[in-house]
Amino acid sequence: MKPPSFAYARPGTVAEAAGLLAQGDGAVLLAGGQSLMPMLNLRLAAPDTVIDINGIAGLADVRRDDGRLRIGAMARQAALMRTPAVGEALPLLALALPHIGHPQTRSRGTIGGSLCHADPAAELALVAVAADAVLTLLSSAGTRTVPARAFFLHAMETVRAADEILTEITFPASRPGARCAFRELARRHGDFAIAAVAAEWSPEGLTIAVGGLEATPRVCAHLSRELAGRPFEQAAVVRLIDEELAQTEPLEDGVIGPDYRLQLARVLLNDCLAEVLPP
Amino acid sequence: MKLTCTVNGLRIEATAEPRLLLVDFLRHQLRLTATHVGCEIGVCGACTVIVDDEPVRSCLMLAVQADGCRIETAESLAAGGELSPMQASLHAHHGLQCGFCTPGILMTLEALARSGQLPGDEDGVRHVLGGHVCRCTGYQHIVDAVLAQAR
Ligand SMILES: Cc1cc2nc3c(=O)[nH]c(=O)nc-3n(C[C@@H](O)[C@H](O)[C@H](O)COP(=O)(O)OP(=O)(O)OC[C@H]3O[C@@H](n4cnc5c(N)ncnc54)[C@H](O)[C@@H]3O)c2cc1C
Ligand code: FES
Ligand code: FES
Repeated sequence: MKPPSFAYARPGTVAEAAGLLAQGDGAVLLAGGQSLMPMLNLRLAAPDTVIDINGIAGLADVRRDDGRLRIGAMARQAALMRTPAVGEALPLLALALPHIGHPQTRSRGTIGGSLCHADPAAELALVAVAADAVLTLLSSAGTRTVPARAFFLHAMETVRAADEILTEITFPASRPGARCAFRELARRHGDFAIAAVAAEWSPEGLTIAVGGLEATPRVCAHLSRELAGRPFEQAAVVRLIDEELAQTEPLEDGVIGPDYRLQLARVLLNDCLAEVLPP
Repeated sequence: MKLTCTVNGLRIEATAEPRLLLVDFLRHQLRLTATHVGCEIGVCGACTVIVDDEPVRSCLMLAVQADGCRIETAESLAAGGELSPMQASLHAHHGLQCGFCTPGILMTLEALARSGQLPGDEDGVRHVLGGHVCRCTGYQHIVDAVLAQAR
């Protein structure tokens, strides 16, 4: 199908975009278009106005800043894969990026668009939650910051208000000596993950998180706490994974049932732990 | 709305309704029908063109977004009537049957080759082709054609 008709605006500044967004409910932001355009073409979305933020200068910058990496919301997934600072400061993000769609979708798809779209299986949502990133939201009323861990409410639902623009994502840099793992299973490479796991271990601690399993990415707090500072020991890992997963509410999408998803999460968690924990 | 862009080296000035997809602009307004339309949701890859040196789904871009951009379609490949090396390789390896998917695949390969990102191993090639659906070939002959070219 073809999109329904809409008015189109291409603001040159964030302030201008925020002003347009504040004017009414019927406006939607267009970033990489890799999720919004299919929805328009399927007529699942019918906005009055499409506000194209691709013409705003400075919204795609990547900057290292005092132990953090600040990534502009409009940074393209393909561009991030080519940015050396990403691999240096955030190996976990670098591992996740090649799993997002295809070269032909990563060329346009942005980090901010993926976070705001909030697909339960989105790799970037998982990494933002695992790495404890902070999101900067801007509206004509001002700016606020929200931790990624408090940003996702439900599948395709976030705390972002309709008049807010995500401008920047700030990641604490990976700890020195960190070991990272990212694994997912999708039906074909480039499809959305059925389940995905991101893990980062350092002598100071462990963070492991799972995406695709539930409506929003989950930091496995129990696993992370219990296994920090411990070597990989199969029996204990299996028991702790089962304890963690007993607290989850796996998604049921009509194709893949909760049991299969749980089993997949179990295997991926185990494999990532085997990869990052000291032997 | 007015837009100005370059398509296969030619400067184009046109008007387009905001909702017009880039692929429909190319096919219907410019009559460049090498670019195909399959799914219109970004999955099949038939509509892939090069925008400012990157492979892009032209069904997921609005024509008005092409304002100021450099666009290349499969029509640009056989310049002077001579097949490009990748086209010749697909031909030699029987890498197409109906040809519906071929222009999109060629534009992805062209963009990656130019930026030195064309993989030289089978896994890498299959990863790249993952962004394209081909109903005919079973992919093996396309993989062979790309590997022969990458070497
Ligand atoms: C074939 C295919 C395969 C894919 N596979 C995957 C995959 O495996 N994993 C995955 O995670 N994704 C996948 N995607 C989707 C991914 O490519 C998109 O990039 C991403 O979901 C949305 O980013 P975008 O920049 O394209 O945003 P858009 O599509 O432009 O926008 C998405 C939504 O976010 C809003 N939005 C965008 N930017 C902002 C902002 N700065 N502030 C506030 N709101 C904003 C928009 O209004 C819209 O509602 C796939 C897409 C396709 C077509
Ligand atoms: S028509 Fe664009 S990807 Fe299928
Ligand atoms: S050759 Fe027919 S779809 Fe690929």
